Order: sequence, then structure tokens, then C-alpha cells
Amino acid sequence: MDTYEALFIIDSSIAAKDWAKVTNYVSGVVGKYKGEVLAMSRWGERKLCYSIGPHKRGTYALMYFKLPRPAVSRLRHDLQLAEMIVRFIVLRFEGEAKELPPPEGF
Amino acid sequence: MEERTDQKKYRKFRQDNRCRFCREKIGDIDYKNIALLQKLCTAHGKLMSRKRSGNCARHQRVVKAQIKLARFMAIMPYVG
Repeated sequence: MDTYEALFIIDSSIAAKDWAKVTNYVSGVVGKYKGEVLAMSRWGERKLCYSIGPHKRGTYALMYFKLPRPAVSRLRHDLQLAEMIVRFIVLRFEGEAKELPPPEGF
Repeated sequence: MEERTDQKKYRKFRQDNRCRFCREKIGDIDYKNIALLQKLCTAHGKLMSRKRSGNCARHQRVVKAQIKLARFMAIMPYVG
């Protein structure tokens, strides 16, 4: 079980309306592959530096979670299927997982 | 004689290591740390060269990877 760090850009119209739907979906996918969410922090909405498809603004969410190693690629596949997640990255993470506020100059 | 003067010239570069990360032991070169990464970009959002940023090769590689990650996540611009 390794710890991972994931940063999401979420469609801000959906995030504003129903944030629980986003967190339920994401923790559901992590739970489906027998992972465990350590910390989830919502950075809030922000104007993207460049437009991604139709989106000019996006809501950012940072998540730390544990997951068995072979399940990461399947997790990525499921996250791509979700329409509300515009873009995401999943990275290995060493260190202490905690809720982080939006960084300075965000 | 030609060969010796070259060595003397390059020895100077290796001695005064002006890399800010080596000196101040700042650990977190991270794509989330935008304020730090923006200092290492030019006004046009391009990655600053080692000559200008003064980084050593090892830390410049780490900075390059993190800036590209921040650009992918639309936290930092590709151009401008």
C-alpha cells in the first residue's frame, strides 16, 4: 500500500452545485480498489492559465490516499471516465499527508 | 600552455556554487509551490536557464520537472 497524491481540476459548475457528489465519486473509486483516503482539501475556484476545452475556470482539489500499487492504472482509467474531472495527476508521495490550504499565489 | 588556462577557467565555475537550493537547503521544490517556481521563470513564462537562475544541474532538473507539472495542471502558463 503506497501513499499517493492527486490533484484534480473539477468542472466549477458541478463543483459549485454539488461538492459532495465529487468527493463521493472520488473516494468511491479509491475505495473500490481497496484504497483509503488520507486527506482531501478543496482549494476552490480559480481562473485557469489557459483554457482546457470549454473550461476557462476550474475548481482544484488535492487528495492524499493509500492504494495498492497495481490498482493505480485502473484508478486513473476510472478518473478519466468521469466528466466532472477535467484534468488530474496522480503522483507517488513521501512524507506526511495532511490537508493543505491553497498555495501562495494560487 | 593552452590546455592549462582552460582548466583554470573552469575550476572557478566549480568552486563558487551559487545554487540557492544547495545553500539554503530549501527542501520543497514542488509543483504546488507556485511562488518559488515563478521566480525561476522569465517574464514570458519560460524556464530560466541555469546561467540566469544560478541553479546547479541536479536542482535545475528537479525544478524543470516540477514546472512542467504545474504547467500541465494549468497553475502556471506555458506562454506569457
